[in-house]
Amino acid sequence: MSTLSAESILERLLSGSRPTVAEAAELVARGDLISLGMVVGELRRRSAAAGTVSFTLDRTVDLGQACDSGCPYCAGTTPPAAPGAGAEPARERAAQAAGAPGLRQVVLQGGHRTDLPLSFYTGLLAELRHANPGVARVAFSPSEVLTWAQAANHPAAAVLAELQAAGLDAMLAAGGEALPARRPEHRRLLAGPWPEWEAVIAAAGELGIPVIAPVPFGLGESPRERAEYLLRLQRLQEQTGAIAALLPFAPAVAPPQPGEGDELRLADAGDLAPAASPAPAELMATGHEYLRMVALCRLLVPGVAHVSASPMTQGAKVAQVALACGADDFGGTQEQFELAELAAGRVGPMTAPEFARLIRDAGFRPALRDAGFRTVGEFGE
Amino acid sequence: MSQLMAGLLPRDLYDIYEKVMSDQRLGAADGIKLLTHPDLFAVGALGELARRRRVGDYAYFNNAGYINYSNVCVLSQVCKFCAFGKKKGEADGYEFAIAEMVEKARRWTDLGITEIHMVGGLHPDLPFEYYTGFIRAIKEILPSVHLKCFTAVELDFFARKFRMDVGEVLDRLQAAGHGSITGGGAEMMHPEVHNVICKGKMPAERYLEVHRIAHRKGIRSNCTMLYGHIEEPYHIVDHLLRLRDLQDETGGFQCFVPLAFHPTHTELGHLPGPTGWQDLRVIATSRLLLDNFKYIKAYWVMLSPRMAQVSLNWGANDLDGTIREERIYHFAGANTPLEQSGQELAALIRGAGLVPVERDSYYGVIREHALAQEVSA
Repeated sequence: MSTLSAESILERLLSGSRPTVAEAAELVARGDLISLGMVVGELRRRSAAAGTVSFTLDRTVDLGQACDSGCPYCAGTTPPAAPGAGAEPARERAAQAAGAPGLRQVVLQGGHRTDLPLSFYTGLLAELRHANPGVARVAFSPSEVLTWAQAANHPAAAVLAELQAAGLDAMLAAGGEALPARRPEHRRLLAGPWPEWEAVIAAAGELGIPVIAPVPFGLGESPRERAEYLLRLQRLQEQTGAIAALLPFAPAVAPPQPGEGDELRLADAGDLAPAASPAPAELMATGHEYLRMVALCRLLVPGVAHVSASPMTQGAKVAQVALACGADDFGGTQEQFELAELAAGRVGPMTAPEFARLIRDAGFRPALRDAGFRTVGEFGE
Repeated sequence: MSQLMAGLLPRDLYDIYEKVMSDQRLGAADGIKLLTHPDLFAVGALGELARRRRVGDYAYFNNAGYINYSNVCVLSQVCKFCAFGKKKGEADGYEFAIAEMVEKARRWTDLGITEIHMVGGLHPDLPFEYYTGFIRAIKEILPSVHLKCFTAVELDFFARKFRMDVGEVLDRLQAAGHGSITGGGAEMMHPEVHNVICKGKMPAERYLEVHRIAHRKGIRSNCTMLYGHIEEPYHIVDHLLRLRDLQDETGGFQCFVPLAFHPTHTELGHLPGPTGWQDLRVIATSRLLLDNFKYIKAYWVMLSPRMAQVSLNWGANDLDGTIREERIYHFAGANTPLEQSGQELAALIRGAGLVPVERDSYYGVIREHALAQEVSA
């Protein structure tokens, strides 16, 4: 079966037609960066895009590395905790982070734990809201909601409603959803079965909880698998309207050791097991492939209003170039990182003025946003 | 460029597109337009078009080692952008003994390196025999390795310090085994910038004259431009056109290397340094204006391997080399790795859709790496 060339597919996208899976896969496999970027730019010119690039001021809180899910990101380095272990220190860390001056949101991250009851998490949200009402709370993912729903024998929507009532402002649809199905043992809890996963997103949409969808890539998926995943997000968005933003990122998976062919395939790590000595982080996903992925998110998931660039994983320079590929958000300042890659040979914490400088340099206007990606004002000098 | 993509170019870049397609030379106004244009991808499309039309889709790297023989420099208080140079007697000043340099080179003998790049500070005391001495000693153990040594600034310094003319300096270095000249020291040629960032350093005219003398002797050289500090777009264009003029005259330049300024630990440390957009606009503008250069280098040490790779789609076609031990920019806070393997560089090139070629010091092909495997959708 012959498919159209990437060029013809781009031409069809420009004329407003929807890509088939085969066409999307062809674009993922062979769309060249410059052409993808040119078409994204043309579509942006035709739209009513505001010309702003948003960001927020945030900190991510590590609730503890213990996890019951056994997913490939950690490759067994994150075993389950003893029942209840580390819960109190996690609460203290969250409270301390949320109290940092000038903060707009905290992002709570941690493993999936079945030993802590849902009431621990609703209690945590309520405490944070009480202590710092101006700091939004972004946390949890569909798979956690499903875990708690199963444990309590409750509908997932009810669990979500409880979390929202306690103070959840936005949810991360995190995880390895793009992992190839041929590695079912790697999906397990994190990916979750699709119908249930989608039902949680739909419930979030009904409750008005904005969902931020990280889009992992470079995990050994084929172009077709990546295309299917993006089209699935587009369909889900059409049905639910719940997804506020996509966040393409390449998880730091070590590339395979050079083998017989002596070929180091950087963006296409064939094995998820970490190598004994990981390659430099810079090489895990190439800048080129990352920028293509940002553009592909724009082209294949047009229903989602925002795409976040990832300065923390790609460095400020490549993230700034991502603004030309259709990204219109820089995520958060992630103030817990003291040594982000700001520019040539310059490391330090990401700050609002630094973000604003990069955004203006690229010809856009910096704007502060809330946890649901609603602009709350332009960022002044 | 396909018809579809040409149709997406903004109107105000269309005349540049037509000039490239009809092999007409671009002018200063075109350069300013490219450096300030809001459509980063359209600028990239033109840079890539020029690269493809003029030199094809090969991108080069070499298997090279770096030795920075000393950081002691009489200009250490002059060049405000430099974190490498130290005054004599300063705690972290160093100079390698010839035996140390030979030892470094010896460790590379089994790695297949084809070139050693050697530059250093303007050392107040070392005798001329030191420079000819390390060249001779390294050539003795690695006779087939090309020694790309010294910037025009060092060569001019040798001429003044050892009371010779530059031609004689070059003759004696060449007799010892010197191969070609590095591009460093050009900084930003326009006096409005030069007088602020390195007042008193050898001026642009002398930089160009040293290269001219070398080219007339048949010695090849590279050239550079330090950008991303206090310059304006017209300073960049001025710099590029001066290089283009000399290249018209001699044809002796091999590649042009735009150098992204690293502010950390320099006297200009209050500056933020160039952004990713600026890096790419400079690469594309260099490719488009320098129509008599085959090779535009994206130097990964300064750009980061990620940005160097992205630069290939904006018109670059050289990623420099494996390097092994770079010191100058690592003093200026470079957080890039100290070396890259040939396989890593080839993978970066292939990942950007170009054909990786390991080259020798004169861009002769040593090995064309396999093309990207066809990925089926």
